[in-house]
Amino acid sequence: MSGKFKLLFILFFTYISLSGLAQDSSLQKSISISPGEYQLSDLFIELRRQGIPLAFSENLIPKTNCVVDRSYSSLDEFLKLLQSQERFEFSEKDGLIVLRFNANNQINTIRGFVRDKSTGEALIGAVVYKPGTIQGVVTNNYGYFSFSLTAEQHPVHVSFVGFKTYQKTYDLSNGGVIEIIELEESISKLDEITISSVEPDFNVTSLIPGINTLDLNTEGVIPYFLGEVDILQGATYLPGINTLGEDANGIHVRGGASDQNLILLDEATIYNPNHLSGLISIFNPHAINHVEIMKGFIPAWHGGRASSVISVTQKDGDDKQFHMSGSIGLVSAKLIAEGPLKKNKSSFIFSGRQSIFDISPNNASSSRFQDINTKVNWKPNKKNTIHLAGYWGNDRNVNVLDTKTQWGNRNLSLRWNHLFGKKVFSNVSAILSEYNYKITQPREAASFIGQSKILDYTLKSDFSYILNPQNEIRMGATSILHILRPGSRVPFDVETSSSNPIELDSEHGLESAFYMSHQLKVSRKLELQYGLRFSNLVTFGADTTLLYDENSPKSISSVVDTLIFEKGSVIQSDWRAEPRISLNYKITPSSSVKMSYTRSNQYLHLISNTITPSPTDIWKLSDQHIRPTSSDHYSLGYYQNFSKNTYEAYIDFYYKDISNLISYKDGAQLLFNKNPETELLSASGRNYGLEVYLKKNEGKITGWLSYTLSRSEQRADGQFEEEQINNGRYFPTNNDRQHDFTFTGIYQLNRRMSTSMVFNYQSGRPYSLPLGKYTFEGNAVPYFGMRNQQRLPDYHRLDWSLKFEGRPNKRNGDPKLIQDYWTFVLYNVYGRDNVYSYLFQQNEATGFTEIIPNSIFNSIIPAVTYNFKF
Amino acid sequence: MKKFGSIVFTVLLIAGCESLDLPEGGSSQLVVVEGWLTDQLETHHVSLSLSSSFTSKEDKPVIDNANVFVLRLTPTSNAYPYDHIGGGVYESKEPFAAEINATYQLIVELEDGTLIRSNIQSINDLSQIDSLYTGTIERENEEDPDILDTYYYPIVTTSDSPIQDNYYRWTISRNDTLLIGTKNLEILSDQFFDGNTINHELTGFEFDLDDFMMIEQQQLSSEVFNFLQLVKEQTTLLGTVNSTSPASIEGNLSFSNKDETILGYWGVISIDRDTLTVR
Repeated sequence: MSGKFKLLFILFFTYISLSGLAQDSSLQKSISISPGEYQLSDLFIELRRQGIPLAFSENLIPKTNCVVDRSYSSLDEFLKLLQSQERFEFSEKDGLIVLRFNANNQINTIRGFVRDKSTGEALIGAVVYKPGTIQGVVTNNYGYFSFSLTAEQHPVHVSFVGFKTYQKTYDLSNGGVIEIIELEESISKLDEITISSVEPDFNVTSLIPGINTLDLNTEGVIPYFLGEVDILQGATYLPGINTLGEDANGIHVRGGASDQNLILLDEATIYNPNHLSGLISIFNPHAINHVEIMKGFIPAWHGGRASSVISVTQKDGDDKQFHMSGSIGLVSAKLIAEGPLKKNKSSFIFSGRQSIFDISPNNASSSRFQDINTKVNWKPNKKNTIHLAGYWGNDRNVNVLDTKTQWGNRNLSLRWNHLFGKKVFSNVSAILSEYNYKITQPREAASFIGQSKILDYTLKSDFSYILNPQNEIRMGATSILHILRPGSRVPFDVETSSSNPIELDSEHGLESAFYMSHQLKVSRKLELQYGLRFSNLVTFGADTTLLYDENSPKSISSVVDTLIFEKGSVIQSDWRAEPRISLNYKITPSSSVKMSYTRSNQYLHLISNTITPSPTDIWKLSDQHIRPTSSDHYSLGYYQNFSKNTYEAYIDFYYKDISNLISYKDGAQLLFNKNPETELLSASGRNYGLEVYLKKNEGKITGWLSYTLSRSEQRADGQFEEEQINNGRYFPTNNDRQHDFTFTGIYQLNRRMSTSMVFNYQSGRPYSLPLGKYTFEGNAVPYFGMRNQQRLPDYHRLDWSLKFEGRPNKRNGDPKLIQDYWTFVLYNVYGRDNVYSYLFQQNEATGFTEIIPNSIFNSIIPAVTYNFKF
Repeated sequence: MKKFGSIVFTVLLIAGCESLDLPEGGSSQLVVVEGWLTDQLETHHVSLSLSSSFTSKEDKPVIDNANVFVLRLTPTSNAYPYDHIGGGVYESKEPFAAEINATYQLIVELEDGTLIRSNIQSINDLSQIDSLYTGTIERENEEDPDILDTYYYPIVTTSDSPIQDNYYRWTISRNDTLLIGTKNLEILSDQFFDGNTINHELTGFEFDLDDFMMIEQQQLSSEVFNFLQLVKEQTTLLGTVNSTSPASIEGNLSFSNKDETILGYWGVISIDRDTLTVR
């Protein structure tokens, strides 16, 4: 019923009721207000219309909304309801009811941080609220909150999943309060498990559609490949996220390419998130506090990638007591040390991981990796926190010809959180991100050492201004200096190698952005966030840019001019506006509709024409020939929780329109190519689909069902035939999978044992079947027509695990020094021979050509891992 | 627990019931032309055939009734006719050699009168092997790991010209048998050693003592190099983790009067040969 009709309805019944018996006291007069949400001033005006003799000054009434939860028969009762939601006083004098509002109506703020009492770790996503009202806020990625209330006493609760609810009454009559709130872990039922990293109603209340947080609570419970808990593998069990298969680098979010994900580790960009060429991710799960994946709406403070944001926050380290933990499994051994540098003020965490066995599926090479995560934080006072975090990772692959390839990410971030004034939270970061690789080829005549590097220097500031619980404004700016050294190649041995030294021109670009975003609770039901991000890329010389004849395909033979830019001179500057809006309309307290629109631009591109990216692919800045990739992403979803948040579900529709995608000419040669634009095509893409998710958060049996129905298509319809793929028609991308279904079930057998299974089914991805073969020099050569017109067989796999926890106490009841658990995992339980691709080969013995299914793992793979903590 | 067990059992049951049907591949027929004209004074060959279904086990269909000849266009014009000698292979009537900087074109007239032409080809640089010698690899004996077996591989020394981009191919014969197979397709561009003398180690070709090796070094054009590189990629990498998307491999032949793809390549190359008996 619309507001006007509701008002007419009320007026009609008011008239009827006023014609009834007169009351002795005005406060005892009967009123008729239907349940609903009203602006306070409207309610008083309405009461006046109903014949209630009210006296008030209209311009002093706060412009807030109040909720009428039921019908009230007396005015006295009704005014007390309103008093519980807004500060005012009333009295009756000579039959007139006088309403008094505080002219100052002073608002004060409780702000501070919410942390784990036992470790001091920031609790991200904890809810701070006033019970019985709609007022509340959520802690940010640093555990910070700011909650504004009227200058009087208020009960405040703080809750976070797995922790006891914190309750305290704050007296704000004398000003604001800065508070470090520490939550105590709750003791759950011994035979039940909770699998959520956020508040149970987050599914419905979160303003951002398509956001997923990974449940690190499931560590050791869910079966992971070789028992190695893996964030990216866990992400693929969620709707809309998949990979090309085992041993494939990168992940694809809502059909996007693997370079379209902004992957952040403590705000530092990760350019290659995988170890062992895709088998596991670089994130050491023991060092991680929080993982957030934004695959739908991307808030204005994030940008630079066209598909998603994966934000990983490392642990701060225990600032109460020193302890160590670790694990040893088939993949790696890990050791983590954390403790206070100064109790309650400063802490550190240091974790290292070393691969143990060579588990490369490729017999012709061996692979090893190491990584180190470290973080130090210092809280000199309640208003300031300083974090220094670092990551160092290294992969090494050596093949039978002694060719050694090394690659790794290196990050260092220094961040300062500061509380300005009463309502402003700020974060200023200085970040260094590096990804590099090195190839050493000691054999062959032209033996060489090749290197490539991308280096980012980032300065970033974010300010969050919480006006009141209904309004939060965020603004900030980012500047990233990208230095790309796409390749250098020097002789391995100057005396014996015939290689010439080669160095491709470096690229320099300054990617900047500033943004403003407003989060607004319009009413109890409607909440929205809108923002605008302006982004810009300025590229600098020295550089030589070739100009091509517009009437010919780009090639060296069609060059018409050469532009030479001096060192430091501006080559080009490109400004772009990126509007963002997200809206959450709560239909009931347990259901909501969310819709969003995100425009993003991507100025960095991974240049890779292999089906799955290689660690030795290079990144390239947008330039005069390679335009920034631009994405318009629309999302609409229905979110519903059941049975007091025990179950959560959503269905989300999305459509993503992408322009200026990079595609590749047939047979593109990219290795040390000084003019890669001659090998590239500009394409457009469209990704669309729906995601369904149903999760059971607690009980003996927990788990979730995830289903995605989607298409991911691309079109390269350039001006010339050479610049077209499939005659310029849309064709499915390599990661297009129509159906993707995952069932994850966890069963708590008893206090110390749990078992779980993951079943994953995916439609086969596209491939190209040869139209035929021909013989060339005695060899059978396949020839192809249209790209990606056939489908591989469907993929499915079942994994199983058992987690067995050691006894926590000695026989005399004292706690054991070492707490430990074992995990046993069976990957690919029924030994499914999933086809990764087809090989089109000539059998050397028979001479016949064959189509041979190629799989990465075709048998059951058992694993055992031992985890300990002391 | 019963419910959980039932789910696992059902999944296993469904999963165990599936069999894999392999695709068969298409079966369209296109004309295939292959052949090289070298700078050696000898007879030269051109092969004409048709493509077939990828999984076909039949012998390749051949074209045995075409008129084939090579035209020298510059500096003086001449025509070199070929005769069919069987199996779709055509041989030049007489030995002749391609000359440096001269231009050549292959013409094929099919039975129905349609003409096939190659693009115009020439040799821009001569191939020359400076020396041929062997390197060794020691490997554990498969039956007795305590024994180290020694294998020999060819090393070719050649001096690259700094004046232009050069592209090389090596073919290797062991005891007068040409080692075919696209994994043996050994090609290299001078992108990284322009103007230098290289000792190219052909580590993929193993010889025993007393084996007779013959190495043919070919000097290619960039078009031939790109064609062979694609042939190698499409036959050795396709379907692996490192593969690129399949591509249609552009040759250098076309019909004069219809828009239909012709597969294969006909090129003019310079070659040099050297031999060695492994001692």
